Amino acid sequence: MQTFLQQVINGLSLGSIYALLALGYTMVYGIIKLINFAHGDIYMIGAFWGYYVINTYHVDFFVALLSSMVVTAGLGMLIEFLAYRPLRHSPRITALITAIGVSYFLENGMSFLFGANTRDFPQAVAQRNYQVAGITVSNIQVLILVTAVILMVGLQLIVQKTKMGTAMRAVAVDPEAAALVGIDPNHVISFTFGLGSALAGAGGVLIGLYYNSIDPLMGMTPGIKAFVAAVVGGIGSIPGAAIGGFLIGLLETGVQAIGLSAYKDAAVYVVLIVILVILPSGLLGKNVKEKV
Amino acid sequence: MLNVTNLQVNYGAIKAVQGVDFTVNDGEIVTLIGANGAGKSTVLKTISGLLRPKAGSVTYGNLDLTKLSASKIVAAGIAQVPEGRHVFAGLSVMENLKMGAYLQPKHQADQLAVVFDQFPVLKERRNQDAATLSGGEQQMLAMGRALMARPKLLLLDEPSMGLAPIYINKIFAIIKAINASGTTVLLIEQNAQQALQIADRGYVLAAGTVKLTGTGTDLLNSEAVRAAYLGG
Repeated sequence: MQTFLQQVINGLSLGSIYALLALGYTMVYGIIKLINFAHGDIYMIGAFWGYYVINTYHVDFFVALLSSMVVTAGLGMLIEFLAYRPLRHSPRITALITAIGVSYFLENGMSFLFGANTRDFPQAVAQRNYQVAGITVSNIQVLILVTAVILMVGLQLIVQKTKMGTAMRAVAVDPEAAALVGIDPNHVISFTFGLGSALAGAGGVLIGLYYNSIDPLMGMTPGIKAFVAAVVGGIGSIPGAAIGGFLIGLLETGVQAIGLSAYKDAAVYVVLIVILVILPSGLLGKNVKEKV
Repeated sequence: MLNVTNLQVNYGAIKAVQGVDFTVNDGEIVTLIGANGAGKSTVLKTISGLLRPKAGSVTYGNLDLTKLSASKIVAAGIAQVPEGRHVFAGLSVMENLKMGAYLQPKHQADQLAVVFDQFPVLKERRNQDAATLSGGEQQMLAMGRALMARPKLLLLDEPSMGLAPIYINKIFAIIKAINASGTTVLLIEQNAQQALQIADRGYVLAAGTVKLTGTGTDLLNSEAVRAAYLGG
């Protein structure tokens, strides 16, 4: 039982990071039907920014987190403007392949500029472990979980209560009618990229703190797992992405706990296949028939 | 107010509109009538900037609408109620109306009072998901949403389509009331009889061109229109 609870704690910490990433995938998909494969690399840039400001300016964790969110939001909007906006009226596959290109560009660009080696993420928060009823919980795990939950609640408030958030939902459900009430789709798409990328940047700083090591290719696997999380939750659904992220995190730590560490990634992809076969629209997704 | 000259619009290889001319003067109700596929909706979508013409001009005052984005056209004072209503499903009635005032945040509260006055049912249902409204209520919401933008020119695309007769009469009465309060109306209808009854002038479209034009009464009494659209 203790082992089980221990794994739940570990799974929730990891899952909250997948959830932050999955939200960006699902929001961008909801608005422009693009799987932004460069999203995991935004998370990598977020981690590198955190590494840089903590080492160079000795800022504390919160400054690193917030500044990283600002930088990645700007980067996400810039990528959308330069790479995806010119393809707005192209076939979807063109934008998808471009997203893969952007992903390679960011990974190899960072390797070229700063080296491909793995580096230690500075410990901006000293780790302390607490024993609660026989379970070890670190202050960093609590910090990750609390930060992720606050960000998700904040996102929900933005999407549900603000004018821009309402416009996002309007564009997602009916882009043509949104244009007819005067919503400029470019503003909304840009805002969506900024919001999603800021969450990815936050996830990058949090994972640096949790795993202590970062490298230019660190976004590949979490990026794909977060994509799986978004599909599991129902792509396009914001609560679905959060739930999917936690489920994938729990699954991964669970598989490790029963001694199948080598298969933890495979388990995630098995879930993707199973979901696509038995529940193609995910847990909370709407079953919408594609128009051809 | 609105001048459409030699408008030609293609849908891919299909020539949907092949040289249409008409004008809408300040304060009028003008209707474009014609069978399905005559090109009526295409004309309207071109005016509101969703489609770009192959040739011809669309001017509003001294603005060339073919050069403006849909958002700029709304800002210039033209709002469209799309065919099939297209309310934002998943958003409440209130959120739908607020989105209508997207470019007019300062006038949102005043305009909301005007719209609720015109459509009391929307006030009752303001917290409901727009998708749960009946067809007639959705049509009222779509019209209310367009009015939230405080348009000088209101474009209506088939507002009576698929509605129960009781709602059809109501919708046409409301269009007259909107016009009486100072909004110019361009109305597209398959329901030629009722459209011509409230219109100052009408244009009959067929196969992408204007076949006939005249005052509403003239067209109602015209043999050709009666034979083609009013069932003899």
